[in-house]
Amino acid sequence: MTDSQFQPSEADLRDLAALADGSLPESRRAEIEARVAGSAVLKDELDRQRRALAAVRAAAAETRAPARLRETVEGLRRGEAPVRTEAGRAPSERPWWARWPAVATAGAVAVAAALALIVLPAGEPAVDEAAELAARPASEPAPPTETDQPTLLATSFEGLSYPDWKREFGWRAVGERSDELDGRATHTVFYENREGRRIGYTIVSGDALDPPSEGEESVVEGVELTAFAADGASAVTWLRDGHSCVLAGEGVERSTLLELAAWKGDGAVVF
Amino acid sequence: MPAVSAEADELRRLDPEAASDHIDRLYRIALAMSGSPETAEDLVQETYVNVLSRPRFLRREDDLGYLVRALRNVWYSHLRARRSRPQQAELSADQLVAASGDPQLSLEAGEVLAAIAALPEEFRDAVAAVDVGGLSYAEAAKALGVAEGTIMSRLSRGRARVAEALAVEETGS
Repeated sequence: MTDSQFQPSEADLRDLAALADGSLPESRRAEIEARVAGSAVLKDELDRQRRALAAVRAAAAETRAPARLRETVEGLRRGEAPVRTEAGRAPSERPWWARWPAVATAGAVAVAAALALIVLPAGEPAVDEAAELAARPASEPAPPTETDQPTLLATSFEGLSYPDWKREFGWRAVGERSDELDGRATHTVFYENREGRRIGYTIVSGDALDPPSEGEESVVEGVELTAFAADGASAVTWLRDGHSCVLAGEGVERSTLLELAAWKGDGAVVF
Repeated sequence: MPAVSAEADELRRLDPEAASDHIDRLYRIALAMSGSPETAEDLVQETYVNVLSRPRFLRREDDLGYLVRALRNVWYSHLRARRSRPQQAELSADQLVAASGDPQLSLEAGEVLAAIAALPEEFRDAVAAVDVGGLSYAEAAKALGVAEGTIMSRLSRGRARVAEALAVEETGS
């Protein structure tokens, strides 16, 4: 084969990438440089990579975040409400480190409760609205497993930890998101199984929501659950520490949802 | 077999102050991914809103890698939402520079960022994470959910396309 017919292999491309940006281990440098020296195709490829890399690094070096974005992020860090963006709706919650001190006194809690009564709309979200959150995309990466408790994820909402179903059931966490539903903060963790089925586990802040009137009630492992259909998806709702939880997904058996929802994870999943 | 230190395996809480130190790098990556200063600003703001709204726990992961993953999720949500709205034309290099409002940003830099934004998704994300954002191959692989070798070959192809696009710009053809 002549050099003009030569096509770099995947391994060649990987080596060239590392040679171009200087991350190739010293132990392999001489070997790869000799290989490049013996091939006009590889040499051209390496030259192109180096030209692109130099241009990209120069462009990156002169690109800075705009001052207003810095101010906004600084404000977020201090607990100020974010401005509304085109990319997505900003949550109404203040950051956690700014929020916790605010609940330090009973007076503050009372004021907050009184304000909430004034500000929040009279209606409350329906459980099937919460179920529809399961169809939304994740906005944050998957939480890892809790260090000392393999049946829990290292993420919680309203003081309730989410279960880690990967070892027991094969459903792994793939992302999470926060929303607001009719004035109620919600948090959803998404899970996927090996067949690519996806479910969302939503916890709704505040008092329990009314279960759907056409739901089917059952008790699994001592947990009272209501199964229902929501916009083509199967869903179940139940209570954990007085908060409504909703587990929903398309193409997932109702029995699977019931089993997952009622799972206690060796006692670590608090109800 | 190399020992994994207990410290590396422990969960640690993301420090909000440290997270905000990465704003320049996140903005560069967002700009390279989207090709639009306005969109990049929105994406970075939304990423910080999400990340700072609750305590975040990381294990075997650095802050920047985590933030890039969060940014990428926000970017894909944005793309899904945009599909249901009229499409905006891609910005040319001079439009991108003008829209940035940054007098320090040169036309050459605008050309490079526009060339990266025009790459196919998998090449664009690799170039944005490693060459623009400065992530290592391992960090980028974790952030983008692919193998390290895949990052390297995508980088090779992405860089080659950027070089070709810039050469075309130079010759004016």
